[in-house]
Amino acid sequence: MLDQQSALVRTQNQLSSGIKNLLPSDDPAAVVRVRDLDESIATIDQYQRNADAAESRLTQEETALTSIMDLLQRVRELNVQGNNISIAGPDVTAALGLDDAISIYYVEPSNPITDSYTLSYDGAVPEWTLLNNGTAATTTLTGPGPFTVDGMEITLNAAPVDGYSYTITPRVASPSAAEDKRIIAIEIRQLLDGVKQLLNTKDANGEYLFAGFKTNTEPFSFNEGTNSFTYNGDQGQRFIQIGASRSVAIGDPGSDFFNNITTADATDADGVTDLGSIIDSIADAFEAGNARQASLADMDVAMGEIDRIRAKIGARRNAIDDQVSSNDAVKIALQSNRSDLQDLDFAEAAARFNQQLLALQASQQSFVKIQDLSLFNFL
Amino acid sequence: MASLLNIGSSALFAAQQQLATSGHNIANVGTDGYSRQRVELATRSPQEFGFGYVGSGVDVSTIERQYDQFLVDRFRATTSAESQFSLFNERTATLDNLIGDPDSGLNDAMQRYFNALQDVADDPTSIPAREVLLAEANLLVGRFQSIDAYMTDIRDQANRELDLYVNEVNQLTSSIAEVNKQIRLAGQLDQPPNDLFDQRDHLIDQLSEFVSVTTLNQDDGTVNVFVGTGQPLVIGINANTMSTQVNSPEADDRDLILQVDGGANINITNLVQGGKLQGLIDYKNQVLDPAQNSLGRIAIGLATLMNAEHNTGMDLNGDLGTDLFSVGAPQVLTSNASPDVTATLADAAQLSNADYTLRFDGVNWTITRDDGRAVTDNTGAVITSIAGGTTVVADGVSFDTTVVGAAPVVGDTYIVRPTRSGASAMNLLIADPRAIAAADPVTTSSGIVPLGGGAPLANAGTGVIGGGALTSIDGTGNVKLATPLTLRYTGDVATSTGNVDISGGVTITLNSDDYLNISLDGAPAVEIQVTAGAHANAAAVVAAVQAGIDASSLAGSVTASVDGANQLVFTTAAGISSISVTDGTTQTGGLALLVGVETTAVTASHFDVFNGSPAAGPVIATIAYDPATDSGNALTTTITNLGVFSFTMTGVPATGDEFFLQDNTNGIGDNRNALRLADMQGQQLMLGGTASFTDTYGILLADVGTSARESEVAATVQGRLLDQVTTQKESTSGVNLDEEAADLLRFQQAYQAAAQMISVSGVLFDSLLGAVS
Repeated sequence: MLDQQSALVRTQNQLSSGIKNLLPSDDPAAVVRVRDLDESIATIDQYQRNADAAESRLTQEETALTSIMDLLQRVRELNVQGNNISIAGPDVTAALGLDDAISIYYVEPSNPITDSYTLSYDGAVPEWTLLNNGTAATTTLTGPGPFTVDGMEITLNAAPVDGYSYTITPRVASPSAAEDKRIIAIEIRQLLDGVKQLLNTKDANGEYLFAGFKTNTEPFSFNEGTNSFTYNGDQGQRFIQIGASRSVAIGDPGSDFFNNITTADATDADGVTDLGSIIDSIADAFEAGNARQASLADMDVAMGEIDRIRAKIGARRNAIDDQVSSNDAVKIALQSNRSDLQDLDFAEAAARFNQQLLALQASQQSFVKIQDLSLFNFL
Repeated sequence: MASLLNIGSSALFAAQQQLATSGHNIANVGTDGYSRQRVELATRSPQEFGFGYVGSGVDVSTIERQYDQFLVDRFRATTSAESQFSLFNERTATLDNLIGDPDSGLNDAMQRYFNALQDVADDPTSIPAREVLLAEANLLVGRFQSIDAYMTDIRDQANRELDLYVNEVNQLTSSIAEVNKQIRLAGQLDQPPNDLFDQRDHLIDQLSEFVSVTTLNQDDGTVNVFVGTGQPLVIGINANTMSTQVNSPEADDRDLILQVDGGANINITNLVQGGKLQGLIDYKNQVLDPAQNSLGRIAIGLATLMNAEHNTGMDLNGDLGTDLFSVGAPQVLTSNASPDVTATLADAAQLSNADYTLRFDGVNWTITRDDGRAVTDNTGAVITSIAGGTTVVADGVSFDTTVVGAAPVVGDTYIVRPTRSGASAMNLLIADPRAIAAADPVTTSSGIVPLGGGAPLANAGTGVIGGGALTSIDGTGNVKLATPLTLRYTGDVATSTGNVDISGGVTITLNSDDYLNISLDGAPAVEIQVTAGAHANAAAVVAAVQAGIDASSLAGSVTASVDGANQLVFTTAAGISSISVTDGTTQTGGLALLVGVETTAVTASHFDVFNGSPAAGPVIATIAYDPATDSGNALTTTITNLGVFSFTMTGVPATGDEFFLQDNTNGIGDNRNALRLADMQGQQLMLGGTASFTDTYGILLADVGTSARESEVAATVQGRLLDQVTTQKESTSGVNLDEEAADLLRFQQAYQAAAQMISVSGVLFDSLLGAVS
């Protein structure tokens, strides 16, 4: 009867908790396995939280980079627009050939030509010959250009044909065009400030996004003298674990993209410059009324760098999505495994409960009946 | 008539006795240990007459107890086994409940601690996340300590219970001796004192619950009671006292001592079998001690390994990490005065959950484990003894037998419990959230940002540096890197050295142009031309050869020079790892002699290490790096006065590429160390690298759970057996009221019949008297 009672209590416990194995002694292997599964599931939950944190960091980084990209696009537009304000070129008249086959700007409009020139093309060699009508000096120009001669930058817009000939005469720049350029320069400087602020973006926790490990150090400072950015962060990159053997970088140090721009600007001795110098050089040129051609290539390189990082971020976010769904799948498998091990079959347990109750009642009743049986009752 | 009267009165008396005995049986139906009694009758000796023998009635010969010695012995043996396993199971199940429960066990606290570590890794600058980590670490430590304290409590309680049980045993044995005495007195009357026998049997039954006993009946009716392998508890009318005594040197353990009357005290701890005494002793030795050791082992493993990793890190203040947890030292217990054996932790991963006994045999210390398994060193070789005075590392513990005080003598014994204090001694040593070392103290960078500012430079190669670390030379921990280190890569360089002296004084005159063949990296040889003329000294020879090289396609790839031994030396540019110089084919002789039997040497690709900027200082170390085989490996070198530093390099750097290791100043956003700390959860760091921390706890759970399950089964089996034996015993010795009721009727009728006999005899007598009168 005692045995039946304890079996009944056990079944009742199972029914009320919904769990099959209450204690390690019931089935040591299964309980240890369940504990292991509990641990794995909790670890996966943590990975999912990590993934959320990584996702949020990367989203912030991407937003900042997209904004920077927008600003740089605008800078590039302004650069093209400024270059196209043709205040800075001499008058070009085609003696033979297409008018717009060549365009000529002053490298420094403040320093225009004083003599007239004749530019002619010999398709047999092939070469261009530039004759200074004042001094009678000739210069031979070969290749696709652009050519810089006597403060003029000569750009070829179409393939020349043998016999092409142009007359170049001095022209004075218009004051309003120079003013337009200065306005563009002001906007470019404002954009530069914007870029500077975005480079020093902080995340929700007040940490600088692009400072590497030095998250409380302002990563980029602008040097007024050299017109360049100085990177104060380091090359550290923080990783977050999003799976048992998978971790993902949740940031990129600023050194990785803003200081690593190989420019097309031949005047850079080391061949590498930074974004600040590039943008500043455009503004400088426009303020002086000059054009700035080489910076376009620089801007393309800079934007390419940012695109490269954005592509990396996209890849990482894909990796996170992938890992999150894989984590979910593993978690479901683990949970179902755990459920097999520890969850109760309610139908079976309820049936068992009734059976045991019946057995207990039967033995109680038979006990009472047997107790009543005594010869003394019949004496 | 007289005989009928006599017969009748004898029958009446017999029936009376039978009724009385039945009544006695009914009265004692609920008395423990009572054996049913039965009146044994015997026919009285008949009277002899000439015609034969005439019966003369009935005699009560004795009152017998219904009893079967075999069943009684089985009953006692089963009682001992049942109470042993029941007690063992009851205690084990309680422990099992505690450690297996998700709320009081370790799993949950451990998981929360590691989750908090992950959160710190996610956001290393967050003070709240660090506070949570400290709180969870405190909770984990608290969980270790509370489980450990509970185990210690259980042990104390078990020791007190042992005292109580011994007390009860003593009461029972003295009662048995007392009953023995009464029986011996009663025995002189020739009739069995049944109720005294029952009383004594019942006392011995009760004694069986505590300890398994054997009995020996004596001629004078007394019974001697023995335990274990024949240690006397009761001899005749004397009882020997059992007592407990604090074990030496294991003060938290108790010995069972039997004070034999007039003899020495016998330690019967390991001799007693069965009953609650063995259940309790087994529980302490087989469940509680290993469980507490296992818990301590997890605590020590977690604390030691966490500390080691944490110490390699750097905290929010820029200081190196310090110990997170305190680590419990091994207990060394001895009765000796001098600490001739000391033990320290050597390798947490190799620790067992056993206790060790070291016994001096005059030369060596024999070492044994209390769980009977082999003691092994870290190579798996079995260790059975330690030479006196030496230190041996076994099972992750360093046993030092250096004589400190008095020299050991044969038989000196030390008990070493490596992990017993592990859980109780574990404490959180850090209270400041900023002191959590989530960062690494050293960062690495490549040539993009040169030291001390200046124009940024990009490395030409694909080499990527990672994982920089600097530890002190004595291995005691990390050190801060005061000056940044620069690593400059140089690819393979090959040299070819001739064996003919080309020093001044030897004038080498070539009458016509001479030729040499130079082959680089196994490529087809290129012929270089050395112009004719008088070359007066070594420098002139070198100049002539160099001119020939520069005029060939090898210009820039090979440099000619002269070495200290005045030999002509050809050196390749970096990245060219083999050179072979032979006599030219166009015209032979002359210069070929200068090359002679050349020796070629390769300076393998390597990093030159500079303290600070390469411009400022000399090379303080070189580190070989072969991109083909070393990529991704940790590279380590020791620099005097600085420390041991290491880093990893992947890819192929170009010659001249520079990499830097510098102090992680202000690197508060660095989470590399926190990641490694958090990663330790899943790593198999324990049990010789086969189990994680939680696996190790799972093993503890499984061990205790299995013990509980086994003992539950054994207790159930013994319980069933006990039921069976009790039923059998009851059917022999027990009182069946139905049977007694029938007996009462029977005896009543016999009584009435006997009375009728007397009545008949009276009537007969009366009728005789009437006839006479």
